[in-house]
Amino acid sequence: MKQTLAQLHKAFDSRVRLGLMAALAANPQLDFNSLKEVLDVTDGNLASHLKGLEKEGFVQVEKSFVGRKPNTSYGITAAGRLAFAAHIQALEQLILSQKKP
Amino acid sequence: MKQQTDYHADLQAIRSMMQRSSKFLSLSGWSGVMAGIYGLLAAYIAQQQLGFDPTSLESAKLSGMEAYDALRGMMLLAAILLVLSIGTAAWMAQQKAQKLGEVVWTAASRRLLADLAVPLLTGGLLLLALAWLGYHVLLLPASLLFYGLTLYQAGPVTYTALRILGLLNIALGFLALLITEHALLFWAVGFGLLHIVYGLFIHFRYEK
Repeated sequence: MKQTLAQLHKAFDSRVRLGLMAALAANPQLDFNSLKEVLDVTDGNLASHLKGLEKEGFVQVEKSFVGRKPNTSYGITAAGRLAFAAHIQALEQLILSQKKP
Repeated sequence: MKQQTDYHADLQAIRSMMQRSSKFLSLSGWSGVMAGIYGLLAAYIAQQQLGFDPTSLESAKLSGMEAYDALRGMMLLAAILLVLSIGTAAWMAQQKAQKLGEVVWTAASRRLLADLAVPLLTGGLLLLALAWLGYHVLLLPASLLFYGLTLYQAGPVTYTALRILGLLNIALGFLALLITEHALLFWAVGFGLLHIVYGLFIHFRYEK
């Protein structure tokens, strides 16, 4: 039990971050506005969570230009995918272990 | 410590987010039914009013005006069918998304459109070229084949049943190619009947 709890990654503590990782895991690339739309959060909130995940090395940022407008898109890193998969597995394990008395 | 329900809710949130962000599920089942009805009507008009027969068109190529008029009528009919079907689908998708409190124009729907544009435009240009060059007998099979490819391509981004619909259309395309005298019948099955069956399936499976 203790073991599994420890496997829950601190970086995925909030629901917004879980949603963020889920959206990035399911798409090759997403830009800031698409993420904002699908997660339904404010600019500041999203930016700070993205920053945090970027620091962990789970999210990579790609800056480019669409015409003259700067466009920032985000993708999941290999490390991020691994950590997220481990996190989901830990969640499933916790649910299973709690079902048993 | 978190409770079990929290973990459950976490997993549920992850699952729904992955689906919502990567799939385009606003396509309404009823718009499939409507597209099928339009398709059947178009096939009927083609046969009854325009006397469309791809094999006779071919042989009448030299006799000029009549065949030309029939072909022009067909092209107009096809264009109207396309605009009506897409218009209905777009309008109904908007309605469905609004009801569910979602937006139609997402990263997923943009990607879907971009993915579909390539096979669809290729098919459309090919049809124009075939008509221009006088290979009229290939028009119906080619439209079925390329439409099937387009739907197959769309499958992973939206309902998976669309893949099966695509494969069936491809099969019908080959049948129409091999059994030319019944090409219009196969076309009516593909663009009419199958749309209706698919639309009803989506509606009762996912929208009830």
